[in-house]
Amino acid sequence: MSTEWIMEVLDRAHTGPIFDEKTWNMEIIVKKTREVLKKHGLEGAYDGQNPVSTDDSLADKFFKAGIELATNTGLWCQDTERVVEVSKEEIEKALNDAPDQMDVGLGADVRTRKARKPGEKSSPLFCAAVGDPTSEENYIKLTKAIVEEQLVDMISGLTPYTILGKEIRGGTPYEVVAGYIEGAWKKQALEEAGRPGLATTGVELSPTSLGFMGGWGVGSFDIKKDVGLILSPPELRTTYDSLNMMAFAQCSGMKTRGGSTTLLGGLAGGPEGTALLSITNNILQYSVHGILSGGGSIYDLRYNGNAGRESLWAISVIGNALSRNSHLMIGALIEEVAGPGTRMFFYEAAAGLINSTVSGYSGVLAPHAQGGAKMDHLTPLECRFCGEILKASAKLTRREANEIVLKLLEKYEENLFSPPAPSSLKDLYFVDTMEPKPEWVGLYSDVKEELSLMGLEF
Amino acid sequence: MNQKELIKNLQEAILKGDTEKCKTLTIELLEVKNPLELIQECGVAAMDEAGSLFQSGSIFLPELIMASEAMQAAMDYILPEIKTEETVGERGEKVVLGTVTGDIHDIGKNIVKTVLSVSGFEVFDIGVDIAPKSFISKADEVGARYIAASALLTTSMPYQRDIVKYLEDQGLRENYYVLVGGGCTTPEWAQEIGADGWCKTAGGLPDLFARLRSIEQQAPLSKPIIFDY
Repeated sequence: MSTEWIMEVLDRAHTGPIFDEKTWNMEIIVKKTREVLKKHGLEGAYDGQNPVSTDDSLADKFFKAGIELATNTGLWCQDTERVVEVSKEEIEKALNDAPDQMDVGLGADVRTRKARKPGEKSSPLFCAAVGDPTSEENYIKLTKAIVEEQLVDMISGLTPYTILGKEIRGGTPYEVVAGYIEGAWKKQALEEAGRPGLATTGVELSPTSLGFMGGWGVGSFDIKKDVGLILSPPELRTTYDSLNMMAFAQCSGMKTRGGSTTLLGGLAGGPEGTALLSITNNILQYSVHGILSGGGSIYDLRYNGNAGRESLWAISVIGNALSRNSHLMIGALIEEVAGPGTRMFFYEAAAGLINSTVSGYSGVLAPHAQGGAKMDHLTPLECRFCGEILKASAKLTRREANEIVLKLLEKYEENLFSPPAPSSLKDLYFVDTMEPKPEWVGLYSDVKEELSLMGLEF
Repeated sequence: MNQKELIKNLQEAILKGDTEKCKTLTIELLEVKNPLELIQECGVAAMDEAGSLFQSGSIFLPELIMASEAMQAAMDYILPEIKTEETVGERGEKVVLGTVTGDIHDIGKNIVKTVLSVSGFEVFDIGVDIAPKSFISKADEVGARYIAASALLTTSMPYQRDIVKYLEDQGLRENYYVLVGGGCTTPEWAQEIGADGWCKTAGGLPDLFARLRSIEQQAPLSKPIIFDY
């Protein structure tokens, strides 16, 4: 992204058309999404029997509709109440200029993230630990134990719950210090694990640009190996914080990934609207935020996860649409409602991971049980499981994947609104040695056996 | 059209978010029905149905918002007809709602606003990235009894505690019920900070408020009322 374009984007955030929030939400997001769905014959497209979609012509229609919606909307800047509009030519240029592969990490831990196609016999890049809140006493040793799982290609990282015993308050100088400290802790964990070159996605705790700039600014992260995360809120929005991160990232030359979630059940409506809006959102992240990878995933706000049938279908269609029609390195985020210690967690994770692999995603972030609500509720064994599922599902066709996902849905779908209670790290691991307890290993092995019988080859 | 048909049509108009039709039918029905009965038979029935349809996934947030706006359009005609000595009963209570400092997430908050409006509360949505003191100032200004604070991020949660602490430090704690929620919050957190209520999703709110009213206990509660849905 050139300096001229950075300034152009910032200018447009101050000179673009004005919308108040309600009008943006209802007249633009809701109304235009529905109009475009109708125009392209995509209303009622949802197919619950094929959550892993093989309908390529449908995917192509969604992509075409996504380009149209992106051209007719833009990203609304929450702070200025003006829209950063982008023309079709600018959108297409940004998509063409985006790389189709990117090295992350250094030395023995360098990994090449590549754009993939649906059904491609390769596995996506696995990015583990998605901001789960973790106590100070466990932060370094849990990070170390996670990255010791060799199938982990990079980490987003854990969120420290406190720093030196103090709560971290968003939007304050606490965040600046916390960004620096988080970077230092991650670095120590990687070194102790013997994987100093493993890529991270910068500051995980950062709710605003303060933490982002605090961590990156003092050199806690390395632009040669790490990836900056540019976050923005739903739906089709940017903020001064997002633009701060964009400007900082672009000026520093760091690699970037975008993160913005489309909410199924919210303004996007059902699975069709959610798929369309997410595709549009992904496309616009490349033009406006200049991201090199990722873009955004989806999430069902009715049960706070995305392993339900409608979500899986939307994720599959989004993946198929973007990967078939571009060379973008798109990313999926797997969000389970059941947590560690439960069989249901494994089922949800497997369904989401299998779906994302065969639907053309180039990178997958997992796991993210219960929205990361509970402190010290992530274990390395879950990360091991996710890595194994990604590798195994690369051998599947989309049809085979669909058969397995349908079987998995039967096992957990009824419990999405009332999942079993999770267990904590200390319930499932010997925390002093960071070794899993036998019962947890037993459950993990049991589920892997079940998955093998369903057709997954480990 | 007879009264029964008019009532049915008004319920449907609310559910469909047809604001114009709601106005017309409300004016017509006010000529033959007591305003409080009209609220109960049409408004409450329709909004309860809208809430159920949203929870079951039959409608989504836009439809819920439109139904709420249609209901408000009807209420704009009904409320002036209510004699001052009458009340709307449990309905019409005031809630100050916002997302706390350092957090700009608003979709969940907007759903809460809609569900509460649907349930008959008067909601004062003060927006996102709101300082603790501003919740209290607004509650004082409008005479609200309930403060509802949302936080999606762990780094925003301390500000929920700050609301409670500010009230305590100012000797105002007994005046307000403090309800907390948001993706990263838990029942344990609500207990830890001395909040009066927590629910997992907006769908649990009507039950939470009903329970709060039924216990007839002044704030602060010794244990928060929790709804895990």
